[in-house]
Amino acid sequence: MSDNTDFTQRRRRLFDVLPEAMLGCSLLLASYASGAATTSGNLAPAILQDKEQQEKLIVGPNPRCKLGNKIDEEDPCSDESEDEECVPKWICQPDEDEDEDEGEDEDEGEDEDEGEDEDEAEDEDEGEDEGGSNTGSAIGVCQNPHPEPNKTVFNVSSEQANQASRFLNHATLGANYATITQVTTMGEAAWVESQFKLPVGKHLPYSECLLAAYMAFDNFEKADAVFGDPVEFRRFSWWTQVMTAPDLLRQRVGMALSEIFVVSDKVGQLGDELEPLPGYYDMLLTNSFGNFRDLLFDVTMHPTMGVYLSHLNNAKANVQKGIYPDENYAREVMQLFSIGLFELNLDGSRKKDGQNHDIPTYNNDTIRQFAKVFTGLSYSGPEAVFGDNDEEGYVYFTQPMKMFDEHHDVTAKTLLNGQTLKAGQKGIDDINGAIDNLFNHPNVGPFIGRLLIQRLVTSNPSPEYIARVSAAFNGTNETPRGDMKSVIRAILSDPEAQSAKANKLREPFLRIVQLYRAFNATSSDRTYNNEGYEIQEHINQFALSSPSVFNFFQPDFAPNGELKDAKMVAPEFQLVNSATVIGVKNYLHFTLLGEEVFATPQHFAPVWFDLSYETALAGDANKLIDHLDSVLTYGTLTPNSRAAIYTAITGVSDAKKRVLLGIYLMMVSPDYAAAL
Amino acid sequence: MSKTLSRRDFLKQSAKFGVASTVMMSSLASFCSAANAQPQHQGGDYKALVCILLAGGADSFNLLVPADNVGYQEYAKTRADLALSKSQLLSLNAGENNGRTLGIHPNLTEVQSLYNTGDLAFLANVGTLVKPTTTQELANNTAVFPYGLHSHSDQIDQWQSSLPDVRSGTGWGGRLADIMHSQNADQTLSMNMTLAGNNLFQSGVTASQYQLDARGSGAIDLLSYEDGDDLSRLSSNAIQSMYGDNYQNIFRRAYVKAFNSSISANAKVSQAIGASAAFGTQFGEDEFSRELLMVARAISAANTLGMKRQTFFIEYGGWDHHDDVLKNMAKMVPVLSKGMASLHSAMTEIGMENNVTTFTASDFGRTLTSNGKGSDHGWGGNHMIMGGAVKGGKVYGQYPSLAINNPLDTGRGVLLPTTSTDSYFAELALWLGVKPEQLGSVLPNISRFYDSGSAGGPVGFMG
Repeated sequence: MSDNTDFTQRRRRLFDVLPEAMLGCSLLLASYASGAATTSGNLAPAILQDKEQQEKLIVGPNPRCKLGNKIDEEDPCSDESEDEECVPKWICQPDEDEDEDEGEDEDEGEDEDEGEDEDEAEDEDEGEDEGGSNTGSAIGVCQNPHPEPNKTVFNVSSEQANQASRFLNHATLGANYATITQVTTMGEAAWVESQFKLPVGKHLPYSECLLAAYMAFDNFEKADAVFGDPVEFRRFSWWTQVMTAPDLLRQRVGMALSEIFVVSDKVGQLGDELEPLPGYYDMLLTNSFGNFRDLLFDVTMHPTMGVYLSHLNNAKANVQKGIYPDENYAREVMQLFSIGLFELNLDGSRKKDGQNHDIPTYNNDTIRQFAKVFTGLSYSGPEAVFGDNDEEGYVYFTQPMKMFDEHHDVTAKTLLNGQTLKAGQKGIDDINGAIDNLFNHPNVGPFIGRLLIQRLVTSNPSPEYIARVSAAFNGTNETPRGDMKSVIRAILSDPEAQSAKANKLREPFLRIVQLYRAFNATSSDRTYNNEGYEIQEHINQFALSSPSVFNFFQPDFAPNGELKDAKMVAPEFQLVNSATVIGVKNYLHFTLLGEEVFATPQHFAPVWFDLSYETALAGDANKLIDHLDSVLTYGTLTPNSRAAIYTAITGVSDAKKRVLLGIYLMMVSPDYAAAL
Repeated sequence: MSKTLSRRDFLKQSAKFGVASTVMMSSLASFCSAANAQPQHQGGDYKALVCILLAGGADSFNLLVPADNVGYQEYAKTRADLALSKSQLLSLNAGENNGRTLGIHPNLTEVQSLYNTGDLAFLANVGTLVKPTTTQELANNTAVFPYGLHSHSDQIDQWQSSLPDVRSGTGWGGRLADIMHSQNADQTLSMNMTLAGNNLFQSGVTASQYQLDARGSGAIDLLSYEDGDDLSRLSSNAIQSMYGDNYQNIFRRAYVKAFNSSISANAKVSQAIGASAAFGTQFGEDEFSRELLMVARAISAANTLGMKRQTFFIEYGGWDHHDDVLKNMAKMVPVLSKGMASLHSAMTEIGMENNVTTFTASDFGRTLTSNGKGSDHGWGGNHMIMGGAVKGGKVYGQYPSLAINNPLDTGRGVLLPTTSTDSYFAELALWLGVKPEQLGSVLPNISRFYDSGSAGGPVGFMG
């Protein structure tokens, strides 16, 4: 990985200008509303004034909209003439038709749940974008295709609500009270099955739509002021999809996978271009309910991973020139993505040799053998060539890498468990052979199973829990090995997940996400275009922004003190330090008590909570606390904390302020920081 | 200012008026007394180690390069497209080592002058070793290798733990603090300060680490309300009550502990650093330089903070150059060189140049041979030690042959280290004041490499 100084600098710069830019916001909003979309240069987020940088950003990666605002001929949404402006069409792609949508998808034919209603969506779209295209108004241009959430609240007991809430805290990135009562009524298992059927709430289409809207401006400075920096669009997409896509379970699992199969915007090219990260994320989402073997293959073949772990443009050995295959991906695919360092039993414990030592799964020679497998890959795309072609020409970040057999190492390879790939095979056959070799290693179930349990449910699953999940991974008469749906069912329905024995520290980022999700943050245009830099400054975390391939925290991390003494792990504590502990609290403070809205570029509607349900309860402080306890801590609020919060909120008479103070205190409490 | 302190005020305040805002912490941090800033420390008994971790595995055989004809030819042949041109190399006064005359990377301009004035030394081919390992053992396949050799996560850990034969939860800086922290006046604030988050190097059995913030006055200010209005009082009381409780659940207890120690430490640090005088030395605007500046400010506030012994940890990441190693290093090496020189200059300004020793660490050296675009994970590498107490102007250790298939080559120009991290760090630990008989608790494997009863240091760069 290479460091991304430019990006860091830019982020720093953004952070520095933020206070001033925000002061100017109301002015901008007013002039915008009156139809004069003018901006005074000084407050136009001085985020990206470097034209060259900007053009590179736009010309390079996007196959849909070239500079000049033309629609790519292959655009499935395009029934306008080619000369018209490239009108953003997020609305054209509500459910994704993967097979036809060439620019979009990254894997070869899979998916069962396809073939939906492209046409209907397009009709709706017609009328709307006329007014929008010239002003670039997002309303009616990048219109959110997701249905409005169902706000029905059923009458359920607090025990039922607590149980559903704990479940939804494992299965989603945060659920509001309506969803909690709906799941109670529906049943957890039935809810999971219904979630499996929902289409993929992909992140890239909205980014692309925003870019197209951005490109409709003749002037980048203006466009920056209206839409923000295109570098941020993937972050806007992240929020908008996570807040509104109905596939809640998939969005949760996808986030977990992104913390296992790590790529990051800390690598320049990935952060600076539009497609690499949301394209990769969509691949993870798409595979979340598929088979692990396909997931591992798609991760391996994704150009974003190819850039991140440098097996893209990895050439076969040239001994005369002293050139050998890059070993980076070969190592990490074993260590982090599939089998781990040591031979494992079904329950995740380490196997021992005769001398009671751990047994390594591979050695350096194995790495060199696998390194030969991952040679010959480069971008696909009409102008793609093997080698140094990322400066010019079209390359795709939305399609798997292409094998250039002349650069592939065709010597025989010895893989795990003595299995071999014979000499002279096609490159893609070698890769398939290597993925099969890894996929069929007995470690994968316990290794990946434990990681997923840790992300979704608990830091210290019992060996029995791991064994049950491993068994689901390994398959039955009815389900194949690697079936992700079986693994997810096993993780979420396990008795250990349904008790307060399941302990973990909440990831700081997910605390923030849950705040917005649980309390119905809404905006009139249903977009949530926050770049997240400020959140990141406070808590050192944002999706796809890990400092290294080892994620924000490692699975075996234990902080000094009681937890380490008790031989327990608490990975998320790796993000806890004197800066972030305060940072989380400060963020919650200015959001809830300072009533600062979720910052978005001025073009978009402001985001604020819908607290109508809570405000209606505010007259009875105990009822309000019961409700917050159900939603956030599923009935595990301690009597002391309850009393402390009760005293505080009964000191405030204004209903809204009482609710905000109650939420704030709940969310900064130790009771919430650690999920039980 | 209005009743609520808004986010923008908060940001401004933490950037510009860090001291003032510590007052607001008083409601939560009862100990936060307005201690008067002490006069700035002028050396004296204070000592600090600053570890710069070049995360990712720096290609350090392009930092310290043979410049004599024979040595350079060997280098150029092995490194192929990764070789720097001979004419670009910067020369060193007294750059001889092991029959070679060494030069340095063309962008190490400031390092060159630090070396030539005797304030910086190099240590050649140092790396993780389980025990002294001979080329004979290598040839016989009887050599014992570190655990997870070439793996980032293992090697970056082992460079911090100096325990290549086990997985360790403690680092040598942490174990050092376990022994030395008692010398500091304030027992509630960790002597180990980091600008790179929690790290293994500074984790001890009892020692924790304090995270500095490169912005503002070093500590994150606690956002609260001014004026003691009702909402402020109500929320502060509730938080105090919750964070004063003894929770049954171990995760909650651990979080309470982390929260409380953060609040108290931040108040102290913010006040002390906020009161420290500005430096005349201009630090760069890049993140690494900003972090170095914060280290310099924390050192200048050390007396106020009651520190006699400290470690600092900075990470300058992004050295994993499987691609474009020459281009990437040309961008990153100047930042490293300028940053180190700024720190030294700032220390000289406050008379602390002999009290602060800065050293580099990295996951590993890299393969001497090319993968066609860059280099892969190696083993031994070259490092720098800077400070007035360093016997600088010299290359320590043994600079190896760079010929492919030389006896130290384990394949692809991955070199068996000739000096262990234990010896490297023992030299630093002894300088900081670890007694020879305590060395084994800081560096458990040190006796395999060095007899702590012997007269000279393990390597010699600290005398």
